[in-house]
Amino acid sequence: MKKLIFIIFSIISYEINALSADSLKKLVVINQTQFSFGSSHLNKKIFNKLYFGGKLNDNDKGKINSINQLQRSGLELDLNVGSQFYINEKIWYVNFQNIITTAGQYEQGLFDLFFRGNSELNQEISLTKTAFHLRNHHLFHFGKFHKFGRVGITLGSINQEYNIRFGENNYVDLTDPYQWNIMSSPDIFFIENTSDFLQKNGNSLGFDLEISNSNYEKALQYNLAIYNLGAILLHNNLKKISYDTNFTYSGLSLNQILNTDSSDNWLNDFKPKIDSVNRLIITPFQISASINYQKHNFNYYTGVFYRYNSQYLPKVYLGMNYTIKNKLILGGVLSYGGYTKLQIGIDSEIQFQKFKAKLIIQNFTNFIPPMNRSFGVFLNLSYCLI
Amino acid sequence: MKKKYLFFLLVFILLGCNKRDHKVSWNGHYILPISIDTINAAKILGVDHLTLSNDETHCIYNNNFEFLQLEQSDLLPNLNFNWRDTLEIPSLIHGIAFPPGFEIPISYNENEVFNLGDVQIKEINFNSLKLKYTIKSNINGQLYLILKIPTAQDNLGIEFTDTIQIPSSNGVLQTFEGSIYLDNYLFDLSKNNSSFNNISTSIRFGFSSNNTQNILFNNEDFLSINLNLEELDINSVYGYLGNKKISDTSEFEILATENFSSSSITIEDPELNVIIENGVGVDAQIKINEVLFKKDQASFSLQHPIIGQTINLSRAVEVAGQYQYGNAEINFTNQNSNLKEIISLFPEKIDLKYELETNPLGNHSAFNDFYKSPHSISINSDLKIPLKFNLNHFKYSDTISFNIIENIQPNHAIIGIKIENEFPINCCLSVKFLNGDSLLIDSNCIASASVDSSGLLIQSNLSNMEIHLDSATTNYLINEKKFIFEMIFNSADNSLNFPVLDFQNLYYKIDLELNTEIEIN
Repeated sequence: MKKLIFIIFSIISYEINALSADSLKKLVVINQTQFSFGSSHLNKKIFNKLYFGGKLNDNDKGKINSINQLQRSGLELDLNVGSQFYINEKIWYVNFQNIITTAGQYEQGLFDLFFRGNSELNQEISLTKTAFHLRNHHLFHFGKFHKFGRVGITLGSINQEYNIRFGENNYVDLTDPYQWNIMSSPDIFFIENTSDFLQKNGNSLGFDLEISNSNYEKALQYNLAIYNLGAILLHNNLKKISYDTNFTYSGLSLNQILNTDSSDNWLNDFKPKIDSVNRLIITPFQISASINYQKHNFNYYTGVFYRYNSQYLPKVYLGMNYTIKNKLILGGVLSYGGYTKLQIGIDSEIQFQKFKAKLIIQNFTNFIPPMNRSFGVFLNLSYCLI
Repeated sequence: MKKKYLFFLLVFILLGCNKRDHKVSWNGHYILPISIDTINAAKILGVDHLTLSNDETHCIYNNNFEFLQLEQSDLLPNLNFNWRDTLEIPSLIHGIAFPPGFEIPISYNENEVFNLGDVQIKEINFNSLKLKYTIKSNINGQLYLILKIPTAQDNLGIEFTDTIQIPSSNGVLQTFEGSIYLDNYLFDLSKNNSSFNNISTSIRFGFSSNNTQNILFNNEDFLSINLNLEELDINSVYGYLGNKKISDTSEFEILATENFSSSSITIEDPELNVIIENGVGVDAQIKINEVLFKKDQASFSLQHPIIGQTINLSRAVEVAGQYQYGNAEINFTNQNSNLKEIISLFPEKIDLKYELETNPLGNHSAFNDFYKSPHSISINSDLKIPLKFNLNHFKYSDTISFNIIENIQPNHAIIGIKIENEFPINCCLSVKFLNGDSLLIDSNCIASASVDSSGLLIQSNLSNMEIHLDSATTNYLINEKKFIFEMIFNSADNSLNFPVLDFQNLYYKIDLELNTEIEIN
């Protein structure tokens, strides 16, 4: 996995170096990459093994928690390449973003059911809050800086969007070894990528708004931002799986399938069907707020970040760093949320003339085996070409 | 510098192409429901329910089955009403120019007598029928044809009349077909009580007013009509319905025994009633030549004085709107037959060989036979077996199928069986694979329930059993996805027949506890 991350960073960094600036007077090229995966209960090794293969042992499956404890696991890869440039003394920005996320929110019992078995399950598993998603969106942001911050528009191509969300009072009750009771009415829809580079099965339109006091002379700074708040229209080849079933399973010969038209064709309900009706959904917008306080060479900061419809727990963070000779910044950050729980990270930044690199290792304790439930890295590279 | 950078990048990409070279797998401990079922006497005998005896002390297996139900086509001959009229055009009108709308003042009357074998019909009443006509004409001009059947009347007593339009044939012989659908028509085939099987028609024709010019006949002109009665839905027939002889064998499945077998079984007196009903207004005779019970490849003949003897069946009568069948009933019991010995073997099928003859004395009723739909001649049977048994090694087996996901590597498994016995008989279990290999069950028997002297349940018996399977056996089971579940019943007391009651059940639940490795790609 680390090799993969390195490769991704290397490719993107190389592309930045290859950008040309044409005739602009001032041009800053920015590359920002964030990669993280984490889980509220799983060991990092399980992600490695699920990707590269291997046998999951008991340690990989995490601690045995209460069956009804809500857990999260997810992965996000956010690649950005963009620039800020001057036109008529106004600062504009463009940014190409490829955001790939996949995550799930589920009760511990559901995980245990699959990976440990149902022999120890002694109560029903609620599916009410269970949801999963997988998405791959290409987003193009452009806009203008103002005194209060910046405003822009985001156009999106939806390469992939998979969503599974179970309904109210859905559950799986496997406590009786001779008879299972299942009630399930999920909303499952998805679109897949097309071979056409431009024409996709879904498109989105959103706006970006950032409010900040950008005067770096001030000791206290703040930033409020919302990115890509808008709507996605899934207009082609939208597939959905629709069923509303409540049944008792007591072996192959005695299925009692209720709420279906015919027991002969009830399995058809579980097959994806093309939905001819377009679907409009809210974009997985991102919202953040942060405050910085700077005194002497110390910088204290705190903030919150949230991504909509991504099984994401709002992440709060608190950090501090120290500037060494105006070139190197080193510090630490505590965060809680996202797809994991408490993380202790390292915050660093280095600046050489026109080049600036910021690196945050989001979970430093990842390198300590008993605590390596997640891994995350944030890398921001900016280069002032002119 | 750039080249070095690219080189290292390439090396890292190649090293990074760490393809998944082995599957993702994990160990789990899963319990799967396999089957839940309730066994009772009705299920064992393959029926929906059992009836309670009059004294309510035991249930009765009661199976009604129909050996014979004669169809309309068995009782009546093939009624082929097909006739043809050629409308000869008189030579004296040759050369005369007839204007449009003119009707030739000639009626072509026909009486057609149909050959129906020895059946002589006076009257036939149709619920519905189709009158199909085929007209051949070479006349140059449009015609119309008025068809009347004076002896066919609808339910208002109006005789059948219809007009058929015939397009111009332009001098070339052409065929025109069509159909007229009739409902509730009565055909008097007696020609005013002077004949039988007779249908009269009257046909006239004229020139359509659609013609634009006068029409001339010549000696080449030809016009004929073929009439056929089809799709006959007969309501009733009166007359003499003839002498018919039917000889046949009817087979009927009486017990679904594929799931059970027994070393010996003692039952109380069964009864078999054969009821012969004559719903047709004809005299009849029936002879039951043989009643044969079959089990597997063996046959057992039922002995009774009536076997091979002729039974006279009186005709059905209709008096003051009341329809009365002519009936005969034969009762086979332990006193007059060997039925008990045969039923104790639980035969699967019964064959009845019979001969039936209608009007054995000919037209004895002087044309007063009748057939009225849907009344017919039938043979029905009613088999009653009182369910008071004494069993020895009575084996009931069921094949249990289940589904388990593929790509698992089971370490071991346990088949769990939870069983509750409400029968006043002992039960032992056996689990086998389809190849006959048995699986070892510790303490595989469950004692009979406690019942009072009437067979009413006092206390059922409960038992939990386990079958431990090693990895190889578990793999075999999962590949087969089936096993045979056998219950072997033995009476607790060999001297008494225990009464079977509707509410006596044996409940079982089976699960499969799997300790397995699961693999996914």
